[in-house]
Amino acid sequence: MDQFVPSRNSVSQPVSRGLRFLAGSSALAVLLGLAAFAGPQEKKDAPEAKPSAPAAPAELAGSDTCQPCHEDIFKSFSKNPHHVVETKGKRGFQGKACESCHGPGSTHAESADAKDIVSFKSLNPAEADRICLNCHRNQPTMVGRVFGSHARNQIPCTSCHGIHSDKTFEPRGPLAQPIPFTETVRTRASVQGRAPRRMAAINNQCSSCHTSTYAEFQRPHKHPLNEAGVSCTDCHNPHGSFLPGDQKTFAANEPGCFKCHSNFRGPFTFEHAPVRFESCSTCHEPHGSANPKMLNRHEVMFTCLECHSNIGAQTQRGTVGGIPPAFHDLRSPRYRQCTICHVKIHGSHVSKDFLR
Amino acid sequence: MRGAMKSILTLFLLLAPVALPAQDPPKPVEEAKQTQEAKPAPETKPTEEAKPAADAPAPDLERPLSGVVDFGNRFVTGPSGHRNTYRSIVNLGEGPRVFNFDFGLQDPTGRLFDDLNVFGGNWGGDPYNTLRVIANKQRVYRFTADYRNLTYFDFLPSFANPNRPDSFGGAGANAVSRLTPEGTLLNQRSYDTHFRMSDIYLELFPTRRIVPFFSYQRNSWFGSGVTPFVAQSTEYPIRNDLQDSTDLYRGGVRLQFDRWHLTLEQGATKFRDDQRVFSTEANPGNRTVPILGQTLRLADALQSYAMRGESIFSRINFTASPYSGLNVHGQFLFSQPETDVHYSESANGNFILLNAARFYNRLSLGVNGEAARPRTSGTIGYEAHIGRRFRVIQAMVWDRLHNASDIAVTERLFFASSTEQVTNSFQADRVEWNYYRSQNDALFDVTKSFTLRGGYRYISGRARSRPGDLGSTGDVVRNLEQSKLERHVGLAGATYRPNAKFTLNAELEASNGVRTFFRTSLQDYTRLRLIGRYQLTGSLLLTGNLRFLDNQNPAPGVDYDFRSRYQTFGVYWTPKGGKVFTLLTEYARSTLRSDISYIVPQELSRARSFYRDNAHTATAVAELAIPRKFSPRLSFGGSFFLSNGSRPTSFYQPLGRFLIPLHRRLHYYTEWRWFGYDDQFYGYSGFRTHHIVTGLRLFM
Repeated sequence: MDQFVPSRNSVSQPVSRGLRFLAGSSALAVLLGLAAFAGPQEKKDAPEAKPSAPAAPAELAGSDTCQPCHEDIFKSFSKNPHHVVETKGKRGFQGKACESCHGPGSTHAESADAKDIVSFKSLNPAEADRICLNCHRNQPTMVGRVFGSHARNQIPCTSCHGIHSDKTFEPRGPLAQPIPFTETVRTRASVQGRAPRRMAAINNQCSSCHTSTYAEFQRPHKHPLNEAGVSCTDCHNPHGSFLPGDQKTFAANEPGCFKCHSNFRGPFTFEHAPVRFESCSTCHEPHGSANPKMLNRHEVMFTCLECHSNIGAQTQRGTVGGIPPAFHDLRSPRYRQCTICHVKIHGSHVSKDFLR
Repeated sequence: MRGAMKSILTLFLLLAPVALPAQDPPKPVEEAKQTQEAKPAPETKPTEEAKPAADAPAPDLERPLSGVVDFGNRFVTGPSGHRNTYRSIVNLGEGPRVFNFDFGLQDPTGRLFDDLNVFGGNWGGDPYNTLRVIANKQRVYRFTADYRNLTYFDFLPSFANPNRPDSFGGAGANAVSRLTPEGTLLNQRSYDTHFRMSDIYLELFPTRRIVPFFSYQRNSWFGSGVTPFVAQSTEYPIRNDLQDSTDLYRGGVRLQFDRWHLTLEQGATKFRDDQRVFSTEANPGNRTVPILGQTLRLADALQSYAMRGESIFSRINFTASPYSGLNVHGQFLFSQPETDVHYSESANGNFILLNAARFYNRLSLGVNGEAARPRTSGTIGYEAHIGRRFRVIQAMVWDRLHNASDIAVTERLFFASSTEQVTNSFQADRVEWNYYRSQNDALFDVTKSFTLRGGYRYISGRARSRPGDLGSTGDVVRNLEQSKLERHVGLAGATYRPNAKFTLNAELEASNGVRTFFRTSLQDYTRLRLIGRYQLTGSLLLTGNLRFLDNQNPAPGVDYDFRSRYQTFGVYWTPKGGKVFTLLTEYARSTLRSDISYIVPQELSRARSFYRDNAHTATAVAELAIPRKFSPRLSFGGSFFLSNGSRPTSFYQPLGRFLIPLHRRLHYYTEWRWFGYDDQFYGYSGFRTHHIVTGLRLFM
């Protein structure tokens, strides 16, 4: 087996990339410096995270003060994991858990005015997230955050996570899942539990915003999402991933598709380029298609020939996919479904033409 | 016996509503209402807030055991039309089922666990069995086990070679097509298989800072199918027994501190593929006309795969917050899967060696080799808050893999003249792939409710592939294909939330790609995404969603012109908190147009590939609650998909449902659904069927 020799190009590229990163980092350092001079440094630890806390000299009143008016929340919160903030002193809010997120509440307790307390309804998403991330930023789920589309698009944590709920899961009942055995018609998702964990609930939650993706799952050829066989989070990581589309990973850095379809993982003696260089979606519509096998074209031959139409190895504008080596007569129906003979199209251990 | 059981169960279910209404009337559940009303999460859809928990009791957490189970019986008519297409798309069968269960058990003493949750569904013969167990003991452990057994049945007659007389299970179907115990006719590239997946994950909490974790996963695919045995451009569909499995083990430790976190993980996988393709009876193949006066045929064949694979992988994740406004994230990921290749093949019959125009009647093939594919990935990024209004997110990804493989192939052809031709060859492939992506975003809160985002993404990559024969110097001497990727993408976005009632999120990408890997990849493209939501009144919520992609590759010989648009519009109406009437409906309109040049292989002329997909999708459910003593509920609606274009298809699933709370903890329901599928160009593959489900929902 010959050894992989890095090309000159692949050695030099990281240098220029490093320069880009250095330039970006320097620019950030300058901005940070300016910001530091522009205003006083915020105090560290939790109180800093109340950017919208009322300016009035409110003081911490304690959770007991909140309880009489917010009895129901108080009760459910006592069974929520966040209740540890109330009972343990390590976070600095023992007996004041409500105010660890909502800020000092003494003024609000007197006025009963929503403007006198940090209300998540009035915060912008970044401010809301910042409060959550005060405790949760240094956790493994946050590793992909800088790549995640939710973070970039201002989708706050509270869109999917219930903060006060005492329920491990969403409520069980006809309205929670109107059709008990199918999700063809779903409910409107809402944050009912700490986080949805049942597949049906996860799918409801995601599709409440991603309605067009949900519509794709109404097509005949699809993954069994409506049947609660899989969930959105089986393939996607809502907190972000370095792979495109917030795709989950398998075995550290391989695409998550191989978790279920591990027979396509390889390594194969002969790899099919798109499986490695792009993704399954080069040929498939994983959310649903009108075409068999979730293909992106109505006939297999078009899926293949749209790439395999470059004359010669050095291809048009440098793309991969030479002309097919065999001059099959496509007027004969038996040649129109290429994978009838090229059976190992995802990669073959034996045949460079993927025949076995 | 099974039929008798079904009858008894059915009788019970049908009589249940008659016998049980005499019991306690449903009682409003204060706790459920309180919880709903009190829910303060700002992003929650207000329609839900007003919605009472209806007749279902909320899980009573004061009771050690709470939960719900749905069970009943499904009746299926037909299906009329193509049964195997029905099984490929719907595949729901008849008989008693446990549709859904969800239990929670709490142990106040906390000896073994604080809470244990078990949920799943589709048991009793349905194709998607699921089970999940979650146990938790605070500050001691968290345990998750997930099990799924998913049926994958795929026999779409339109996917077979229509020239074969037995292609559609017609009169010409021979014995090799009748493979399943039920006598189901299968055809080329068909599967009657199962995916079985288990995933166990255990986290321990010896201290708050140090969290060891362990995980074991096992995924397997097994079953039977039909796949063509290919010999010199002739295909012989024969039985395929699939059996592969992957075991994955991983463990590591998380170090969680206030200002930083580090995860170290090490794992390994073992893979085995024992697929067999075999036939023991005569098979005429797809050539029905003699060649050089002889008829080709397959007498028997065996392809035996014995692939063994293993891999190691490592993961290092870290996050840090050195300053209050700066979060740094990074990953180092490495995996190195390897495969040992052992393959043997033998076949008897009458075959032709086309390039020599000679007939042979026995073939044997032996292949041994190995392949390895190390892959190294790294990411680093940060999110910085600069002042109160300005944020910067910068992230970079490096990803690199190469695959090196070698196999030794020995092929023996036994000719009719008792001569033998032995061919030894060494073949190999070298694949290299380098990928880099960086993205910089700046977000600015113009006002409290309006955020603008702008950014830039740069992607570059390089790919090479050299499959072919190994030369005497050890180099691969054939088919070097290489490509580069370079893409500059401008990014923009906006979020507007003037109040809790209105949200608008917009995202735009535009690029003039310099180079791309494949002809159909993103090149010069514009992508737009809009998501909006407006709570018009307390009971009326409107949503809209737009996805648009325009991608052009004007290179000579490619001339790729792609445009897709997806628009959805939703109306959710819950007057009076949904106590009497609820309407949830969505409509999606999608259009896709793709034109690209391709080369017609038989004459090397250029042609255009046109693909069109113009689809309408609607989903709706209306629920009517009769405000009477027992509050029965009537629901109707369904899902409707209609597509025109290159593959005109319709798939309708209307439904109606009736639910009666017989008791506070017992509901009776019955549902009718209809499935109708039509593929205009392959009319014979359509089907229609009615499903009637009747069952009970039991609350604990």
